[in-house]
Amino acid sequence: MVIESDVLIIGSGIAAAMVAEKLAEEREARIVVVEAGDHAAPLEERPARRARYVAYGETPWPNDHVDGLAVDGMQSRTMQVGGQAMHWGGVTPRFSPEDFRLRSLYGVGEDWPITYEDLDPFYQEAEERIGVAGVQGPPELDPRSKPYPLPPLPLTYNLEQLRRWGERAGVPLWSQPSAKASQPYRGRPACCRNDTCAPICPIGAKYSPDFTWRALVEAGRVGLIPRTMVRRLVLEPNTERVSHAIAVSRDQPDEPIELHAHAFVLAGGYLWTPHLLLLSAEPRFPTGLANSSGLVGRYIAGHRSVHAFIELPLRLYPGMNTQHGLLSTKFMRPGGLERYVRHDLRVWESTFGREPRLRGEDGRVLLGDEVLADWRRRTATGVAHVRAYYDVLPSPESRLALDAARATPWGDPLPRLDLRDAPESRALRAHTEQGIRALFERMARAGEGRVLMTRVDEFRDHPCGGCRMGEGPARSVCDPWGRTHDHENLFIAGAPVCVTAGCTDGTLTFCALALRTAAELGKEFPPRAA
Amino acid sequence: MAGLTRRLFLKTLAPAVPAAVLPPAAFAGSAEAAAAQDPLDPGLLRALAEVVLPSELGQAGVDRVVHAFRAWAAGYRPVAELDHRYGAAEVRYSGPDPVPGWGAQLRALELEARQRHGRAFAELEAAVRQEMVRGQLAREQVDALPPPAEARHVAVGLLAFFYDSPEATDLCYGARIGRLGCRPLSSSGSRPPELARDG
Repeated sequence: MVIESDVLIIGSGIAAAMVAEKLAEEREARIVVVEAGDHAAPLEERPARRARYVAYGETPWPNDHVDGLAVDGMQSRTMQVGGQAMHWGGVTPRFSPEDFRLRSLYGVGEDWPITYEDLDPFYQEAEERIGVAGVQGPPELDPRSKPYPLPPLPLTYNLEQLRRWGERAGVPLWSQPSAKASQPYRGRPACCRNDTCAPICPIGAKYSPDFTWRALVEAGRVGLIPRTMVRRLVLEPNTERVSHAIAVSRDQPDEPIELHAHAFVLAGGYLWTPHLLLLSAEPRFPTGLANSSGLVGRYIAGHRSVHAFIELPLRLYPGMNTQHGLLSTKFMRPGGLERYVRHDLRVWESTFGREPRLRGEDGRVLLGDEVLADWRRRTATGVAHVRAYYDVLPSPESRLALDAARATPWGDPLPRLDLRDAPESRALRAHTEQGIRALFERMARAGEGRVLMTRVDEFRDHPCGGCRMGEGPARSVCDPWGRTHDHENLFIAGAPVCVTAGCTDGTLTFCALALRTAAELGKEFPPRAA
Repeated sequence: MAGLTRRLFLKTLAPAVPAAVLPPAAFAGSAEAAAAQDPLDPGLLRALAEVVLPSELGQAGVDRVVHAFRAWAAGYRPVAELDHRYGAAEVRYSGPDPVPGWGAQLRALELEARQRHGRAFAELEAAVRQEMVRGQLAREQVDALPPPAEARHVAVGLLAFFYDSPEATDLCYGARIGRLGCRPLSSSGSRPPELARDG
């Protein structure tokens, strides 16, 4: 089977949705999207699925993965139409200007080939497309050229108390920006605090990419092919342009599919995008397509997090809007530093150590009224969950390679991940985590509280990189627009092009980068008639 | 994409047996149907619930929880795919149906009551019933309440089910928080109203 298009997008997550929507709105181009996973449950089924999740812990997204594609160290198995953003929390802070100039400002890591100011209009566009509700923070901490498209989600009674506590501790906190409709927006209803944003918003107040796909497919602007795994890209015989992709249908694996296009966009995230490039090695590019730099699959990044649970003499009521929280970017913009440490800060209400229990301090089993009395006694004070994502610079050896020992169900080598901190980050790790813990202690004291527990999550969150952008092919895989240096019609969208992972949630940045790529790619097609 | 209205949301919610979030009326009739198929004897379960749940619920409240718990148990699905943990890639599945084991524990309580006290479990004084249960739980290494379906003992399952509910949270805090319910954003900035003493 041969399928022709102008633009073939491989992957259907949030970055792919941004590219497809922008191209479909602005350009005359036939767009085909190919996705290895299944369609996700439509909005109409979500209340019932959410109910099973609440009652039994069942995933609302069963079969959101493809058997045989598990990789040690991967952040998520999710592979479905809409990708991981089908069950994301919808939290959408921007990187700060410093993230793009680490070498210049702090002498560590590397500068990006673009600045915050370059990305600002695409941040804004992403916020408008996915409907971000937010409030302007202090201008010196929260630079932006236009207001958020939606007013902020209001602070709950709990969060307002925690905001005041932050103020006393010298930490300005404000409503975290979120892709949740604070009022009806582009067909989405206003959030009504169902409290299960991740993994599922039952009413569609939170943005998820299936909304974009549904609209584009129903309007005939995009062809979407699920359950089809792209196995390799093939170059034209006499040029270095990509000719087509070879794919396999999970339903008819014996019938190969060729997907021909004028341009190709890889939007499979930090894992499957470099994997596909490596799988596509051929005599002219023996180490993989787009890999003349040797950097495909390298510099895979992600931030680590330090958490604290802080008891405070506050009466907090659990469940008022549990997944809404407070954000501070104060520590992302630290000014001059003797030693490099940057992190964000988020605060939520928590029930840590406040859950009902069946055994008292004396070890006696509690029953009847004793359980409730014990619970009431322990909930007289409140708990704040405080978390800092801190910047972890990736080593060039933080990489994805092909695993000769393990294969996909179609016989291709699986990816193998080996994530490593750069030497400078390794050297700073203890200092960084001690500094963050000391901050938590200071905050606790300012609120006349105490730190109950701290922990460090080892996994790198919001993973990205693997096809980083740069000015030239010697030290990067693609240019500042996401076009690969080696193949003029091959683009990479979203997370893989990141140079570093920043120190806050990355999804909005991935969206903005994808839109920037779409802007460049779109120049190759005529504007769409009004 | 058309958004779901609150009315449609509630309408589509009902068939999914969300015991922890729905009002008791949502289960009308379902426990009776379940009784024929599950081994959780309603009389024994009620006699147990009376001595492990808080007395503030009153008899009607206890009956409501027992009814909802039986409906919840009837809706349990073994080997259902569970929610992925954040940052973890493994796929997890629910365990075997706990209800047969719980039913056997209820019957054991009845047997023990008749052998040791010469009366049915439900006919024993509350303090005696409670000490029987306490004796069984003393052998369990239980402190925090597990997810209900992972409870090894029926009393723990019942307690876990109740204390996981929005109703229990409201009772503890003496406030109408309405956790997990659909509530307007505009009211989130206010302290939740006090819970009336009659519930």
